[in-house]
Amino acid sequence: MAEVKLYGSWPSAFSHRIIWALKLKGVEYEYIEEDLSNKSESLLKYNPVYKKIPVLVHGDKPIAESLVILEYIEETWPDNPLLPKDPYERAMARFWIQYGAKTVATFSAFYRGSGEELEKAAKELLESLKILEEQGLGDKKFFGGESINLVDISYGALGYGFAALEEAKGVKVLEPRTLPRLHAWAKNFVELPVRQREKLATVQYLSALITPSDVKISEEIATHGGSHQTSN
Amino acid sequence: MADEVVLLDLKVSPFAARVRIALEEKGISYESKVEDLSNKSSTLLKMNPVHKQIPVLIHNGRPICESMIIVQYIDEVWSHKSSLLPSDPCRRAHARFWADYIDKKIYPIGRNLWASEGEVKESSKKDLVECFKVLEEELGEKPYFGDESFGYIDLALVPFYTFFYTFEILGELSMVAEFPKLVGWGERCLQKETVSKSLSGQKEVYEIILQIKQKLGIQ
Repeated sequence: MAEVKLYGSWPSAFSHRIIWALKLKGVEYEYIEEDLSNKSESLLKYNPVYKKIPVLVHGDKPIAESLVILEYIEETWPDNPLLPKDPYERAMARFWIQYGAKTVATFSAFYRGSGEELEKAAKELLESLKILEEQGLGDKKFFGGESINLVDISYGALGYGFAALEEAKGVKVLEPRTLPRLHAWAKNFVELPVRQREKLATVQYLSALITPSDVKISEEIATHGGSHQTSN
Repeated sequence: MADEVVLLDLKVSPFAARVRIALEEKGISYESKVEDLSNKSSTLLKMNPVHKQIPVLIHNGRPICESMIIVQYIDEVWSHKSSLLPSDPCRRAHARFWADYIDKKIYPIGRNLWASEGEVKESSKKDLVECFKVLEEELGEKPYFGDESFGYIDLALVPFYTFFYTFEILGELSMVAEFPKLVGWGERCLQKETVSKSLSGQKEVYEIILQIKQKLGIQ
């Protein structure tokens, strides 16, 4: 069985998506932490178009772009399916994944903004998330139903890092009052065992953003898992 | 039970064109309902409430939105002929990567080129040239992006071939001189009936772009 390597960056939500998918599929992989201020030869070789993480390398074949990687993982390791089998349901899942990709600009505006810009971004973000909640999630526990699928994974960053970001910005968007079902979804998602390490890593990183200080990245967090571990 | 396939359509939209090509490749009979985007139909608003955009494929009453998602749906449902995506996961990932690149880059940068002025237009032109260089290199000596036959990446890009004349005039570029392989590829794709009947001519696209510019008040 060919070797699987993941080039990632521990604060990156895009990186985490791949880790979650690999873990859910029980795929053993080697994790390589990239220093994005000093990109490795390998990264530049494996992703010459964007020069970004995450990049999955299976055998000697690189795959870039997190959503493309997720579909690749789903197709290569079909056990524990993370997309519906029915083509229509599958198209709907892809639609909601794409919806997230389209709202990245709104997220960025919220992340970067201050004052009036922040207020405007928060409003737009709330509107976008309302649509996601009402039409995407509906009354389901997860986007995947009783268990998570690629849609949940693609929105995972909302599950943990977002609360810390809201605190840092002093503006709340994802609240039980305004987005009850999505807020509940976020809580349920965070409780899942598969993301405990990444949650820890991201909270630490975001704490460092809020109160800059030397954050010692423990070996364990930096190497992000490695081989599959049985968990409930 | 006969399939009922309806496409909420727009002639000059490259995204709608992708779906038309996919439907033609599969030999699927469908009804095209042309939308007026300045006066969107209640069907469109009901079938795509989130984005209110075309194309929308309505298959037996159920809507599917987003052009490449529709294309994948068509490929999966009508899997008996003319596969649009390869079967190998690695090649599929490669196809999706490039379709995504085209979506991220060609349409928005191209639009900035013809819809803006001054500095924005100049920097868009530079960016667009860079993107086409990347695509020209990716194509290389292959007849199609999909290698021996027309496939997913070709389908994703070919509607933008009809914008080449527009890019040349408004961007002061010579596509043939700078991207000979891409132009050769475009011409090759147009030899396929499924493609040529689904696309507008380059001059027609240019005229429509000029009209849109006028409506938007852009020089």
